[in-house]
Amino acid sequence: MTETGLLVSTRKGLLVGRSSDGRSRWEWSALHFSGWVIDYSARDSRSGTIWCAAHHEQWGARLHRSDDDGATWREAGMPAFADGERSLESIWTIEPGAQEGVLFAGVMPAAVFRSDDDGDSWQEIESLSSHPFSEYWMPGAAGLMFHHLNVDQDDSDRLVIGGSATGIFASYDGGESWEPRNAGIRSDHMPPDLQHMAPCVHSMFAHPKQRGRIWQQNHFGQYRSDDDGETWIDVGQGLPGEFGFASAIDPGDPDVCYYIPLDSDQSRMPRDGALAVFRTADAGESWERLSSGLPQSGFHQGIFRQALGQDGGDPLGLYMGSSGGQLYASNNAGESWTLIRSNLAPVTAVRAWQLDGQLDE
Amino acid sequence: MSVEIRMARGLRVHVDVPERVSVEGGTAREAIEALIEIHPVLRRFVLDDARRLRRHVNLFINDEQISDRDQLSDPVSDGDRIHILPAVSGGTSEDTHGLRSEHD
Repeated sequence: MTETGLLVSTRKGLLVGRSSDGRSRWEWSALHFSGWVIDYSARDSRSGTIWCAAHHEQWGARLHRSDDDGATWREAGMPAFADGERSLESIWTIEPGAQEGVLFAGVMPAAVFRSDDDGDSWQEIESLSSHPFSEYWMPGAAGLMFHHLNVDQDDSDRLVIGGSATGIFASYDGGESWEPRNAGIRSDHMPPDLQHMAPCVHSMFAHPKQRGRIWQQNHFGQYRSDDDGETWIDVGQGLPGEFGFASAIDPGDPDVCYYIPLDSDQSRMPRDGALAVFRTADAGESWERLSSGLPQSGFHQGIFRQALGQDGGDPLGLYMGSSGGQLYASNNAGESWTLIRSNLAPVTAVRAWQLDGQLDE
Repeated sequence: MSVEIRMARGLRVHVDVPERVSVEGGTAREAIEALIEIHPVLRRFVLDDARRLRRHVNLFINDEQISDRDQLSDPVSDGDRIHILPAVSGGTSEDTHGLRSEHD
């Protein structure tokens, strides 16, 4: 039977879960990197390498890698700013490129680094950091960073990236030049004439099977693009709130997307304490509320931007971690959920894979 | 100048270095760079990308906290002790809690 893997990043360490019985029972590793904030961890489907980005409030940021499914770890090369002014605080995402050895890292303060030697060394993509729009970037509640990098898996030169609050940029030349892709997105934190300068992206996934299609949860609404972000369509009608952080796609169906709307940016919790995931199967025309097995009262927690993961399986497995340390799993595309871990530290990111699947996107 | 650098337990739980290392240097910068030459792994623990002292790390020369956290130009004398200490602010400061608690 297919083996499923799960990386649960928390503010106090990393857990690696495995299931070999169809995602019913899970075996868990000990806590890796105890005491360190795990900002992100994901598996590179090309090599099987597990990347783990961590930081410690006193001792700085680190990037770790495991080439044996989490049994042992070693430090990878670390992205670093070379201008003598900025200093890297944390890595928010690691994304593989199309070519062997190519990796991208989105970091705080807002920048993107590229590696061509499988993470041994990194170079900042300076054309992004110096883009004229960067003067309008401003930090959200967690800081100023790029946290979602969509790299075309057939062509590493094609990137569509987003951050808080940087807006969206696309590059078709490997990062030598960038085009802002913010048209049609509301930005209530900016005056009317600057709406298109730096929207606050919360999560954003390009679909691997339909080039150009991107799903986005923004600070101010949910959006879909069919043209690499040149235009954005508000798909939030039918959802109980425009605010939220996490989203997930189904790699097998470009018309499917999952959001977890939260009541507002003032409370950052599900409305009425009832946790639910919303799914569209018709490209955002309609939404279905999925809550079987999830708490429907008294849930006073949030779901962070990278804390909803999918494993690429059929039916799709979904995994959701909360700011209160609960971890829920669904092995039927969200129809029903089971609490599989509790009493964790706040869950910052969840990423999953199946042995013959792809890196969670 | 020969100075002794003492690494706090809060640092040594994360990295395998001795509690005390003797180095040569006339300023805190020279002493710390000499330490890093012996134990390169310490660079990221003590200094940021711009080679400033990390925000939540403190350096004391004997009983005096250094005054120049950017350049580490504070002078040291023969026989001085430099203490590398985690600040109590790390992990509990108001801005850290506010910034990271949402991870958004």
